[in-house]
Amino acid sequence: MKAAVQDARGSWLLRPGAQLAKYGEVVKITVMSQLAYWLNELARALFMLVVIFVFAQLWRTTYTSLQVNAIGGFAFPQILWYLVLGETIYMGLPRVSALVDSEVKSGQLAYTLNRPYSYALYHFGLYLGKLALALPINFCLGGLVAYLQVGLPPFAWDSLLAALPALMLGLTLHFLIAFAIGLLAFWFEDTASFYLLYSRVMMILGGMLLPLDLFPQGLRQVAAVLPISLIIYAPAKLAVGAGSETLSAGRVLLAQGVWIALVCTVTALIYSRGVSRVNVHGG
Amino acid sequence: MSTEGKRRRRGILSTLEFIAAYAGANLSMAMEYKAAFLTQLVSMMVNDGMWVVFWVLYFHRFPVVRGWERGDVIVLWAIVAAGFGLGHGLFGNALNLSRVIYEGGLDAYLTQPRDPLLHVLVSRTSPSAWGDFLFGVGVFLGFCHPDPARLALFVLGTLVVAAMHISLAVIAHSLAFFIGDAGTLADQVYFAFLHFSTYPSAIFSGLIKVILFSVLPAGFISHMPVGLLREFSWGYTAILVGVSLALSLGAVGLFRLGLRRYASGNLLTIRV
Repeated sequence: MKAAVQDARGSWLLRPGAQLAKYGEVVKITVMSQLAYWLNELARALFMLVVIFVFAQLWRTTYTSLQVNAIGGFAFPQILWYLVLGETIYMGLPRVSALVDSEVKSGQLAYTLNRPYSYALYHFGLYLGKLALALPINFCLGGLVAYLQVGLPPFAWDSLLAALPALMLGLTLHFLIAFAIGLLAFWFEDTASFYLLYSRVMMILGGMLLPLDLFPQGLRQVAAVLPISLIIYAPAKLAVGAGSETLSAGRVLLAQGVWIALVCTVTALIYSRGVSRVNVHGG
Repeated sequence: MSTEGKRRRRGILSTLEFIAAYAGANLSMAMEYKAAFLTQLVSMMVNDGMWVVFWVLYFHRFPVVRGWERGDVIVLWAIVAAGFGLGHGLFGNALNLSRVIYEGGLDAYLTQPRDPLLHVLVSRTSPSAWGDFLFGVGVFLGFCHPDPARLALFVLGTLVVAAMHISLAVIAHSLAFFIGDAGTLADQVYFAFLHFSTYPSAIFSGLIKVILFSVLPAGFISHMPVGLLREFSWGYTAILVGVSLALSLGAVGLFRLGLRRYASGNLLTIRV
């Protein structure tokens, strides 16, 4: 086994392009299989229309009742487009942990151990492939409602340039967390509850339902130090360019990099501990 | 009491016993996997709790919005969660009805003496729905100042919401009789109804308000039970009970109309 691992490391050093191309193919095949059922994907995402429409009504009422132009540094169009981005990300996240959980429990993971690819990177490829269709569909549907309510998005080019890498790193961070939760199936009967807890905390402290700028001071400080605020809140706020406190793109990217390194190390540890518990029987 | 009256009363009692027997059997079946059952229960309570946290944060920042306050939304969530939970706990097959119809799975129910719609609905429970029910009851008892009168209104509101939810699910999923695989469409309609019913009715106006009090009657859920708990009115009570009865009758009527078009799937099934 050690020799195989060393070979794998060696091949990364000698031929990084070929290694990347392998996972690129996983992304491509996933996108193609998703495209074959694009109508299904679209039908599933129709709920975005309802969610954004209801949010638009809620915040329009809030702004008109208070007779203010900005709340927590957000004008009405900014908060609505922020919510479109937040919902686009949240509702587009593929079910990584459920898939890993089922593969660990069914023993399917054992089949991948002697194959010439990394189990984690293979899943990351699947994840990116699914996101490649889910995110644009969600954004178009949510954006359509927002456009009809408040007009074009208030995104400046420089804000978008800052938001895109933050979005990619945020999605990577989410993948690592979800993947680690799925791997807990080595020790726990059911990891769905862990994921549900994480995803529901993301709804609030991740800023999906409400930008952190509108939180009470204490809660905002707690949320700001947690990695989940870097998945939805940070990219969405950078894109909209609003809020009571300015978010520095450089600091966001640095924080995401640090958290990715940290979670990646913990995930690798969980994976190596978990895989050492696998018993393969012939037959 | 006349013979006809006695027979009707016996019929109602027998139906209630039937529902209770299935609920008991479904629950003991779900409890076979205790950890999974408890996980689903707690998960759903956490899910509902997060929505309540959202509203608490919202009203912390904006204490009154068009007459709605934090307490009103907490009452709304208590009633909707309890009603949804009770409905889908007892009639847990409601959201699978289109699949049962489309795949010819009704055959097994048509040959039995009970009403096929009732039978198909009670033949399954949704374990997570019991989490919603417990959450709703817990929130009401813990945060909504329960006294005997308010408790009675909460029970009435819960029953009405349960009836409306199951009726709307039956109406949406009965489309499978007419258009085939209606699962996705039915889910979209039903979940839109559910989503609208958890927001204060005061935020909607104009045409959408008309829709919420007619085609997609979520307005009756988000407006009237909370209104009743704020200030009791016989008029509101009559409208609420009347609408839920009308919706229930509409659901039964549509299902029976569709049943005439139902063609057997010749599906061999074993129900244990």
